[in-house]
Amino acid sequence: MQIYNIKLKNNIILGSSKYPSPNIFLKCVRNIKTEMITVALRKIGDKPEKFYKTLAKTNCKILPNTAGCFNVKEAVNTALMCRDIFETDFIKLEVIENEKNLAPSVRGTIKASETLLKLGFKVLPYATDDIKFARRLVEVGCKVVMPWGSPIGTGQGLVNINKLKLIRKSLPDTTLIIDAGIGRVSHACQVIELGYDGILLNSAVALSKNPPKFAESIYNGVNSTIESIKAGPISVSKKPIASTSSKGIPFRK
Amino acid sequence: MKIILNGKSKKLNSDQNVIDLIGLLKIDSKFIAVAINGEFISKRNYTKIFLHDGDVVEVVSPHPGG
Repeated sequence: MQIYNIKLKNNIILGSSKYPSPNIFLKCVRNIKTEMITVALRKIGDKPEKFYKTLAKTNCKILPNTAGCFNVKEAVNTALMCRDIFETDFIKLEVIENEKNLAPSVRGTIKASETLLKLGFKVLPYATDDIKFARRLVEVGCKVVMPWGSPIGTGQGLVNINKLKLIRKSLPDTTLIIDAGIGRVSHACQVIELGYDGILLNSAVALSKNPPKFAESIYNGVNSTIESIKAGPISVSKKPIASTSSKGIPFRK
Repeated sequence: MKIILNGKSKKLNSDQNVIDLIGLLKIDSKFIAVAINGEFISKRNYTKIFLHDGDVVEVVSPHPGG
């Protein structure tokens, strides 16, 4: 999938949080074959270099986030700090409005996107499934938009399929990634079947009972879906169509 | 003077710049980023920016995130 000036072979971006251990995280990265990993910034702990070194072992591109930011100023300054550490212009922009359902702020996300794009960032904004919100993000210059499937960490999957379809249809040239709400392999497959470019997930993998196995399953599911689309599935019919010939049915004239 | 470092009060000698503070924390500046009073401070300005009494300083590092 196309992320501004780079093309990723894999359609899956993986979050780096909540894994039982760094080793399990690294196994998941390997099994899901991701090329891009999301990370955050937090106040320094005892060994700030430790996680940095784990990230280096992944050989993945880093997509820092602005998780936990509730206004434009916080998000912009967090993005600048991310660029200072990771030396990347990519930023997963999160400007949260509602602490209860972690919904993004429409106004804040649009304003922060505009500001960060002017500062040379390649912004990947976390959005809802609202078409007007998604369209505005494209109008201000975002080449990637990341609508939620459902609220973060809920694992509910894609709760408003028709809204997501409308976004895909209305923004054919924008890279669309479902960010948040994925819980099962079938949800990830559904994202691809809707014509979306990719999936960003974290909790579904990290909190599963066997994260490396789940990561592998997500990869296999997504790639089977891609291959099946290439193979040309049948079109949907309103009427039933018998599979077996109606000629020569026994006991009929 | 006193600053607020990552939410906690910290005493510092006067005339300390950001690089002095990082030295006191014994951390490699490669792994961190800094904001003072809510404003990002670029690594190239660490020697130019001096801390003042009451400054609210955030020193952050990479952390797992989704």
